[in-house]
Amino acid sequence: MENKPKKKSFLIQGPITPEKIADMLRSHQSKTQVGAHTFFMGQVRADEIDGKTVTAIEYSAFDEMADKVIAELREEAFAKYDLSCLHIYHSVGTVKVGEISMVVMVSSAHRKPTFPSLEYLVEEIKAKVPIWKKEVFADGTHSWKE
Amino acid sequence: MKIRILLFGQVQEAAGRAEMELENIASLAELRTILSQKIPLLTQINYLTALNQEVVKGDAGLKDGDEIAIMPPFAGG
Repeated sequence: MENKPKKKSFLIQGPITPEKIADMLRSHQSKTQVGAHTFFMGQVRADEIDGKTVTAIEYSAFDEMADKVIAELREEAFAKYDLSCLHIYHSVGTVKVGEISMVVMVSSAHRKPTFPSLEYLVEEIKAKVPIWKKEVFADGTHSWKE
Repeated sequence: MKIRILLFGQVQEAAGRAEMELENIASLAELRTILSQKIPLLTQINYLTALNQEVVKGDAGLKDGDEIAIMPPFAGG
């Protein structure tokens, strides 16, 4: 069987673990020109809808297009802001309440460019990246969220 | 002439399938009409259409091998 190397994707199966986030920080300790990291982390909330409580979110994506749009957003962010690097991860599959489903990390020599660039990226990801979510309730029913 | 249609989110659930193939459809407008007969949910929601991974808001001609994604409103985060 041919063993093709997997193309790197920003999509991660299941939750983004605290260990993954710690690894993101650890891998930047050698980047000594960086003076500031700013993070956004999206956490799954136990919303109540019509008397039922959300227990998890199931994410799905149009993987290839999502990776393409993320690549475009990265280029735009580097063109607009003075950043050293940026990292984006988003879950697909099931993420339980309290777990992390999205991380955006922007890094720069100084703090100032990190704040607007982080907001820009988070809002653009929500608006432009083909990802869908359904909220799953304790009784096994679900509802699609827009 | 064959085109491939990818369905996502609640549209995929409503159609009971993730993909379909259709033949001899000349334009996105014609495809949208045919799909809204097959999947009535499409008349009730705002959805985006991507032609070969580019969002197309209006009409466009279709050719053999085109891939069209029917995408309900995005909900990442």
